[in-house]
Amino acid sequence: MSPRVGVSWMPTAGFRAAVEPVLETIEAVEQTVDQGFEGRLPASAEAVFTAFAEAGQLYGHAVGASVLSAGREDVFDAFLLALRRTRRPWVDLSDHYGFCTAGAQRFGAPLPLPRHPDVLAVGRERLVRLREAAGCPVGLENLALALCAQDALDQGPMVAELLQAVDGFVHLDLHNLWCQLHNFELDADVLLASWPLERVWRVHVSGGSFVDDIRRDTHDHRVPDEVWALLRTVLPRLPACRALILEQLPSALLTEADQQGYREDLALLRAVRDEVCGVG
Amino acid sequence: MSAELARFQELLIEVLREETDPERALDRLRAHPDAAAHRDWLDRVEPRMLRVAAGLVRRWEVREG
Repeated sequence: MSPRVGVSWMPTAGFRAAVEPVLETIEAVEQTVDQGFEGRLPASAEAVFTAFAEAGQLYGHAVGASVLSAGREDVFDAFLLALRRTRRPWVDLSDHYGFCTAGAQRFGAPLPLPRHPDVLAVGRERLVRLREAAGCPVGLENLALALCAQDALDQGPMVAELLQAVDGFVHLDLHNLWCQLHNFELDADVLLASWPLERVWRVHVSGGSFVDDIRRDTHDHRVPDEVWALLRTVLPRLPACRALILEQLPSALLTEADQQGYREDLALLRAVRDEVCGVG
Repeated sequence: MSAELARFQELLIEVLREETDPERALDRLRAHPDAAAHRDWLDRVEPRMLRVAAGLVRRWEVREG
């Protein structure tokens, strides 16, 4: 079975304008589940999520579980409660590797941690509770940020160990992977070999930006050539991959030119899938 | 064990949000008893990447109060 080609759905007018002309070509939708915690989503987003859920092609993605946090149990409990309250029939649900809550901070950007038994114990326990609340398989997305080269090389093995607790999946963000290749001048084969590729069920392709020659996962530009090349290289090695998701922030989809570029990236994603997987 | 890790995580975030100089941030982290279990890791951390992490903490943090 070839992976479906889909989009990370953003409940904004700019995003809607970008996808409207190609809505019929979208095969899967990823819902950022936290966006539904605080109140009602736009009717258009509700309709899309319902339709794709009925088709068995709605994928969940979270940003606030903070799977590796050892503290702020109250924030995690509130997250799980909100998840249960807004649960949909997701195919599966992912959040990011890392932690973003601690002390007075109740949300933030996910940060990496060292490979340490305490970190693994905390993460395993939280993943079990996350799976129970989500009611579907759960997985972890690789983080772009690493604080040293060894962090980048340790992330795959750590994710593999964490996922054993829930028989979970890897959500592989190829732009995040490329950030690490660039920022630490790593060899792609070496970094890819550190990941359990047979556990990859979902892939993100996205763009980003350079700040002082450090590649960042800012999701505010089109998908770069390096990520397309990485997709062509890695996709044949992902036998369990179910969905290829294009991800871009709505703040980067405000002009007609940006929206057209987004549609071109979506078409290219489908073309690469068709070419590599022999579809069509 | 998770209480120890929770203290380290809190320390990491507080230092990153307070220190604009990554070298000074690293010095503070290395000297703190709550980071004792992770000194080997801190010795490998690259200041340029710690600067990125600090920027992310300040950009996205949501705090109590």
